[in-house]
Amino acid sequence: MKLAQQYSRASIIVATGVLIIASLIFYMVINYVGNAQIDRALNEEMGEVIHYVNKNQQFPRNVDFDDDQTIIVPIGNQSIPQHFIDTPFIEKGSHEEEDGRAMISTLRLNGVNYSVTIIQSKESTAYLIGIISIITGVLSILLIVSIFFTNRYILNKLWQPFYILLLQLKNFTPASNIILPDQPIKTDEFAELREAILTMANQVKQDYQNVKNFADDASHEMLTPLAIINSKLDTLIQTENLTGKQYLLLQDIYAAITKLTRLNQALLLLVKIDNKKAENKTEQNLKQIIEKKAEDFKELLSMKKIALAMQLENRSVSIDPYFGDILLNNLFSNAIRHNKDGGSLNIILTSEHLIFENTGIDKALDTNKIFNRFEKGITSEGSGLGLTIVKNVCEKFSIQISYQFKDHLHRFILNLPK
Amino acid sequence: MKLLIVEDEDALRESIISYFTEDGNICEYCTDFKSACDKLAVYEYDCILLDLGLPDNSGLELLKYVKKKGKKESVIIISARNSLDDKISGLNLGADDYLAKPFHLAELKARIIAIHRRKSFNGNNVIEYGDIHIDIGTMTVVVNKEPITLTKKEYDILLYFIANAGKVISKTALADHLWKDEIDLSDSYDFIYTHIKNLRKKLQMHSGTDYIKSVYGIGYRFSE
Repeated sequence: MKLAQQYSRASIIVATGVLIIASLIFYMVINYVGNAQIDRALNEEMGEVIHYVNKNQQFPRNVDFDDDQTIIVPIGNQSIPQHFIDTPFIEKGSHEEEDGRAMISTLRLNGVNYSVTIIQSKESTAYLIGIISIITGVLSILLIVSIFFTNRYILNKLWQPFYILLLQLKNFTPASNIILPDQPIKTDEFAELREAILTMANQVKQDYQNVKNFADDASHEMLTPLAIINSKLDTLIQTENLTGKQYLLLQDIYAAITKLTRLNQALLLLVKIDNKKAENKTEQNLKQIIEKKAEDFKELLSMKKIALAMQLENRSVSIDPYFGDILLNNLFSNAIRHNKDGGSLNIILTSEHLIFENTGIDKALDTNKIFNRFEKGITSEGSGLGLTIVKNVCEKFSIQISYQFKDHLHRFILNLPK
Repeated sequence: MKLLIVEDEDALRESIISYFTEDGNICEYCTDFKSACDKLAVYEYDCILLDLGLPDNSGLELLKYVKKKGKKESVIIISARNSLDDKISGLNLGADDYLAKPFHLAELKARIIAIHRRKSFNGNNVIEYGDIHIDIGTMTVVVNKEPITLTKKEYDILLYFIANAGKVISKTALADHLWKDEIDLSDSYDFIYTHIKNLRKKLQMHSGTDYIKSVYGIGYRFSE
């Protein structure tokens, strides 16, 4: 649940609770005040009755009182203490019951005890309570609605910088930049958060850059010694009187040096893919490029007796031509390198996909690992970086790549961007 | 040919010099921008071998200097900065070729000879080796007055061999020249073997000489 929602929910629950309790108390207080007022009036009436009786030695007639009803009942020698009760009140000439309040008292006249009950309607109090309840209710609803909207508006506005920062964190890669929100952040906490994020991001970027530079520098530094070894070997094999055994040893050194060189070049290329901005994009006709590559690889295909089948639609993608070339080179050489003699290679280009399907070992490769660095087939003499390079180039130009093993074919599917 | 090698890495430079002087080429060298300028002011060369990664990073400066002075020398850049940008700026500044470290000496020689040939005969010339005549312009090969048809790769190999005639050429160097890193090493040796077998057969058809000699375990030697 979102923070604003949670906060809103909590504050509305609390406000509603407080309002309900307050309304109850309010009701009770008004009721009490109302009763007290009626009681005072009843008391006064009772006083008047008592006064009248004491003065005239007889009970007044009922009609003497307008809103009240006075009931006088002889009760013999009993004595009822004076008290108030809530009782129904029925107005004369009407059958509707209303709330009423009664005062009961004992009066002695001519040696007989009478209970005097004066009942008064509580209608006016009830009416008052009704009106007050409506007002309170309306106010409560207004309050809750306004709390809801204020929370929503204010919280959303307050947390806006947070969401901007969050979005940037989500999209953060060591190669990207943290873009600051245009308007300054007013909330101190968020301003601090931004500072912290900036510091962290810069640190990460710096470290990442250092690692990359290190890889770059290390690979470059290796090139000259490699060149020296190579040239010394080239010179060494010119020497007279080398035996066949020595030549074989030298050949192994050559092979190892070549592998090392390729590994080094692949590493340099990976660093370059990471470093180079994807800005040098131009529309490249994939169909033409693939056809040209197929021509380049024709010889290798025929030597391994691999049947090449192509279904190519006209499709262009926006890509740096240099990286596009690398991408296709790697896809082709991967499909040929890991193919078997007499196998097949199908290339399908539609407006949505570019698919390379090839035969090879009759077993699915581990989808999780296939694009990893230095993950390679047992028999492969490659650097183990070919598919990593493919994947990195794809990522750079927002092409999604996936691998499937279906009908004995290894399929590499590139989802071309719109 | 007279070469100026501008390379500060002693071991590499010595290898290059020894590989080239064996064929009667004259090699001079220097290790920095200033001495290179001094040499260029006095002497003329056929080709300058220029390492971009000089200690004072002045490889490209020297190239600019050569071009500014209107010197005729061909320039081949050898660089450890195996980067596209270097290559592009080098070629844009008028270098004739670019070779990334590490390279095989045979490859370097083939490139230098190709450039030298292109420059000195306006790209229209004939290579002769023994009874083999190659017309670079039309890419036709005539052996003992009989034209033979070579595939693109066979033609490539033949030129490479002739440029490095008399030398032992490793199959690694040959594989690098023909395919770069497109194929597995073990595969490429088989492919080379097939190509060479065919080329040898075609050459032998009309020539009395078997030019291509196998050097056990390591590669080939092309000689009369």
